[in-house]
Amino acid sequence: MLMITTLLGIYASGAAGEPQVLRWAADTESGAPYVFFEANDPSKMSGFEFELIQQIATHLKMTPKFVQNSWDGLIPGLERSEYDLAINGIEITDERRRIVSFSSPYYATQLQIIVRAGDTRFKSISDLNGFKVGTLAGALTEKILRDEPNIEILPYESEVSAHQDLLLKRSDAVFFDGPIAKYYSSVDTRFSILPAAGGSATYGMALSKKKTDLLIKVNQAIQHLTDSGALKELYERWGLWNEPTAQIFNDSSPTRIRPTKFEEYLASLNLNRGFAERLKIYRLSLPILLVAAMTTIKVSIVSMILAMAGGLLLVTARLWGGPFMSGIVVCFIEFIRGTPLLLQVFFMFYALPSFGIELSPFIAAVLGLGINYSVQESEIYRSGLSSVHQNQIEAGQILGFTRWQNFWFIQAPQAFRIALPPMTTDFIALIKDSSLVSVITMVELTKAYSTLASTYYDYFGFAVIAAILYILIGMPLVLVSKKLEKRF
Amino acid sequence: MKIDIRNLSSDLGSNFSLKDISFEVGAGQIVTLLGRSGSGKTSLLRCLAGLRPFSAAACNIPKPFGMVFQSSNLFNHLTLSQNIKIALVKTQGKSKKEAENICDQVLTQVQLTHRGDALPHQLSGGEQQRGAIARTLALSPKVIFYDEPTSALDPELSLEIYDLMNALKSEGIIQVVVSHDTQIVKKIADNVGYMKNGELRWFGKAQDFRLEFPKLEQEEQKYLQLYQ
Repeated sequence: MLMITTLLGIYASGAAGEPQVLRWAADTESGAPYVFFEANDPSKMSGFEFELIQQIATHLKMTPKFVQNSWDGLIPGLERSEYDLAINGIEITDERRRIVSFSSPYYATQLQIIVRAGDTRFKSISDLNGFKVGTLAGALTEKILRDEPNIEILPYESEVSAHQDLLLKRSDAVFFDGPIAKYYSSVDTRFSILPAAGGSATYGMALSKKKTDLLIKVNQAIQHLTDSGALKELYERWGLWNEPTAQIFNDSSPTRIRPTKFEEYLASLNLNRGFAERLKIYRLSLPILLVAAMTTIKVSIVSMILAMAGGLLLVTARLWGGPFMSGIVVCFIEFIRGTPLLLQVFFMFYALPSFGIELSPFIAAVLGLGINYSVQESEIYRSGLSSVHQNQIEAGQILGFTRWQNFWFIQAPQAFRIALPPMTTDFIALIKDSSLVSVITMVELTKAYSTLASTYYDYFGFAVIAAILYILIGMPLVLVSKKLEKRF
Repeated sequence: MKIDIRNLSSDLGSNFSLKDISFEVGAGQIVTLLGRSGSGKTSLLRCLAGLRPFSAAACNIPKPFGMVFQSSNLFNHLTLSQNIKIALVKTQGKSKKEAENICDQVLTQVQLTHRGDALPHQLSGGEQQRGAIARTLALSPKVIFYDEPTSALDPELSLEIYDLMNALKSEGIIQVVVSHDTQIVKKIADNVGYMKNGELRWFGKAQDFRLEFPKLEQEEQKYLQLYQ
């Protein structure tokens, strides 16, 4: 046993001499200025945290490897082995400290209240009581709003949609970290940032509590980058050097460097993209969308096969497994049918590891989808089977078929014809539901769409492309089903 | 070779049961079971065909036997030929070639040689019933049970079925028919079983049945008059 552990240890740490991999996770969806894809070339990553990780990895002589995960899932995902650390404006809080370790702070920021320009109703957080306020779901800002007695909180996944809703008067204010306020609010004259901050936050990289060695190394790297001035320079380039960060770094020297990165970002925003320019962006984005579509296809096909096999198993156990078996199956069906698919996928991925079962994202995705849909398939098969005329079954019995022969040769083919249209509908629904697996680090079509759309503020053009891709994915299914319907 | 039933009873716990039924039928005979709806004739037929549990002092039914239902006999998803061949191949272990030969033979017997490739819904009602009989014949049955075989057919098509049943007598096949069709007693039945409330009230030769007639209750007579 000891030997196996040692061997695994050697294997995990890589062969001697080769650089180790530093797997880091973030959410690129409306990720500027933290971690995002460059507007000029969506295959290139950028962001101040992206650069920070590169520098840390260089210092540690490790190779950085990026893992995409939805923001909510970043911390739970640390309990699994897909990535070593999460960095994405994660505020150091006592609640989170109970679950994960934090590196020493690498950035500090004030929390800003943003209103529509010209709206003078609010001066501070307490003025927002009785109004609707948008913020990022799960962020410290949300928690601060929740501590107020009477604020209606609108939690968002993306900064961009929160800002749009503010303009559309669906909310009265939004509440965000400084970098978001700078990159999304200050760049648009329709917004105004209240001078008084609504609080402050410090960012730390989150690691699993088990990774004590890596934590020490990362902290040393942060210390080194702070001492050498590299970190300050980085923040200055992004226009993000501020008073709170100066305090934690104990560095009150004046800024020296032009915020070139912020200027680039501004330029890319002000770019009035013509049609040709847009087409170029779509062309550049297409590979990203196609790779994501492949993930959608792979997940869907494997889940479908699983759902069909599982459905068949469930329906036969229910109809012919005896009262005990059928009771178990009914309970199982009601349980799966009665709980949200999202919850099931989360459970597979984030909860099972605490029982020692760690599934890869792909396996967790297809198991979650496959089991969920096998329940629906089994109900479709049951309705198909019960529509087969009793005389057909008895005729088979008298002709000497065994129960299984009767099922395979007589009932199943007839039930299949009845079940085919609802099966097709069910599987098209499955393809669309596969977008849920983005919560477990998989970049599928919908995730790629929302990331690209928020990068370019182009929710329409990319939606059209994604919709076309979804229809193309579902098309073969529809054609096969039409063919089969004719045959049977 | 004969059907020999002694003291057959069947009680499935509902308010209906079959009580103490005994009769005998010899080779090549046609028996018609008569009785009003709910008298138990279909239940008796289902017992004999093994589709309903029962107890009996003796129960001798020559095997193999086949059964023809009122409708939906032929498997909907298979052609007529496939309907006939599937049991030969799957349950009798016959080769495809043998099954093919038997299929041709029985289709000729029921005069449906040209309809082998048709799906059941493409056949007329009479053709469907003759097809069902052909499928039964393919297994060389000693007994055929019929449950209302002509009630979905018009009188002319019913005659086709009766002609066919008549022809099968000469092969020694015992045929037990549940039917409301008044023609059947006059045209083809050798024996009549008359049922009421789950009991076999009378069993005997068809030509003797009318002699028993005056002995029956009045409301029963009203129903049975139709069979005169």
